[in-house]
Amino acid sequence: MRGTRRAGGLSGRRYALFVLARRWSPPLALALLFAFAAFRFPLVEAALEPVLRRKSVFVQREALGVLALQHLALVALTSGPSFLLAFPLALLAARGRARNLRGLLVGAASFAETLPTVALMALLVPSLGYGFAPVAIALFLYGLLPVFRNSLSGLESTPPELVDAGLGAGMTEGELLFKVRLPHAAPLVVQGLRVSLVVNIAAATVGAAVGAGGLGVPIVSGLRAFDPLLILSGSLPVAFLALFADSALRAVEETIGA
Amino acid sequence: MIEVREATKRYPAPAGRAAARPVRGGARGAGAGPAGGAKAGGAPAPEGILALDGVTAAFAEGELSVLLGPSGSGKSTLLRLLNRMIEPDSGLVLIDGRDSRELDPVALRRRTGYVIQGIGLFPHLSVAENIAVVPRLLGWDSGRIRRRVGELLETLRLPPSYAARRPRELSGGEAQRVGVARALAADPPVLLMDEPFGALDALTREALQAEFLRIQAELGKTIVFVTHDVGEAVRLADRIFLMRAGRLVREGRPLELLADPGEAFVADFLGRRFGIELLGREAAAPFADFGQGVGAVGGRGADGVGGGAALAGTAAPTLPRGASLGEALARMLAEGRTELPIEGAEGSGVLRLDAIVRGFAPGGAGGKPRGRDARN
Repeated sequence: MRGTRRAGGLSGRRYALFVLARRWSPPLALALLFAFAAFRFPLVEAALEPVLRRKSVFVQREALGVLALQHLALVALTSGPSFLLAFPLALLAARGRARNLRGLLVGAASFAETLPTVALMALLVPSLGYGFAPVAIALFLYGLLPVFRNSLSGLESTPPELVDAGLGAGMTEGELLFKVRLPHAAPLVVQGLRVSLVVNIAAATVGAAVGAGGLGVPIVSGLRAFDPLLILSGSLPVAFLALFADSALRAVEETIGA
Repeated sequence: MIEVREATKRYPAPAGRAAARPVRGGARGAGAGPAGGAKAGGAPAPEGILALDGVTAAFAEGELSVLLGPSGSGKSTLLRLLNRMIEPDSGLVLIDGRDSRELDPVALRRRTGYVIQGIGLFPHLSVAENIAVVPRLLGWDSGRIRRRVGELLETLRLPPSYAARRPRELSGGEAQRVGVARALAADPPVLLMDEPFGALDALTREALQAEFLRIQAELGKTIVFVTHDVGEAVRLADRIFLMRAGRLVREGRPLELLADPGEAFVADFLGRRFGIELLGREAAAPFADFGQGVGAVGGRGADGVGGGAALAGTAAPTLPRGASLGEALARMLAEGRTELPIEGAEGSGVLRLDAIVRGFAPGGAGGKPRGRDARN
């Protein structure tokens, strides 16, 4: 929505620009750091050489940039659909008509979250084989709960006077949901997406162990070879990517909230 | 015309209490108090709080009816029956003679303005968008909505630049004006207001009340207004409906309540200063004598009370046309006179203290001694 703020000291337009810059500079900086770590790692390596006193002994089959793109694809292809499923489910549960449905959905989403990653992989790999599919399913499941739970609690925590005002103005339940409850819940929905994304960006590294590629590959190889540089080459971009996602969605939350 | 007939509403007891198992036996007798104590488990008798206990009332068209009473007396519940935010357990609500249960609640609410205590402005919408909520729901085109929002900002004396502001950028008084503007947006014939000025400081509240009266004089809406503040009720009401514990105790014009409070609770709740507060809103002119010329109004009252000899001979300042009794009395006190010249619609006249005293509370007037009112 709109980013206009009350002028404090500065004139309205300049103040709005200042707020915009302050809000979006951390995600921008982190995006650059990620790009640097993922696509210009030799420079990082050179910088770290004096500290670590050795070069990477392990030669990777695939360039780090390719792995980074794989990682991004893995996260996008799991978090996206998981948001697209969890959010409408939350709307459905918040409609209030079906209390049983709400309980069922909350239970199912919580259950999905309690499964340990490794255990889930151990269950999925024998049935689906190595590769992309088991990791995608696991990440998809993990992405559901934060979005679902946050959206639902946001939709259900509408201040009573807003509900009263909305219904009193003659809104139907549906209009109330979309015109009052949803705008009120929007920051919480984005927060859910943020948590879901950050968790998936980190969890996607596990995918390397079952052959799904991504930035986990150098981490896993580095651990096997006891090669700190190799581990760093995977973990640094992952860390920056997660921080980027976190700060970018925080900025979105700030923009639509308050 | 909105009528409520024999409306009863009972709120269920809190779930926690219902679940807790009461002491077996004997509880029936012990818990029979009016406070709604839980009775013996399994008893089919309704429990909880009786918010409305057979209320019958009629709110006349174009009048400002005030529901007055202490907290928990059922005022808000009664108000919320009128736009079907709450359904009565028994009894009827008739709106222009039609049973409200036959009306679509959504359509009913869209043509009933509603202002609530917490204001309830939508924080994600601008002032203009907040005001436009009902017109939008009614599907007005954007040009008409924009014009209407502009009109209402003007009516409520808000600068046009406020249209783009967010509710959190408003002061309490400004937010309340927007709340009133929102309720008026689709020009509903009926306005329901639940302590709309409750959260404001005294000065802002009085300013808003005055402005609200000005708007009402212009628009002539049918208004039902809930408050627990006697002063507010006195300043605004055409008719007061005094409630207590879910019952309508007394209804009438403010002056009628002063003259004949009925039961002791009414006099107690209205308070000893009720008569004084009434002076502020009653016009002085009806009490004045426009019969003879007034050239000779001096310091001495006709009955010989007050009016120092020292003041005799000096010309008394004339009361302006719209002066209230409060102003007139204040002027009398300040000037040390019991008579003042007054300007009326039919020329000038005389306002006398004893005429005010005798004529103020009809029914109680005429100098008949009344024990209950002696303390006033």
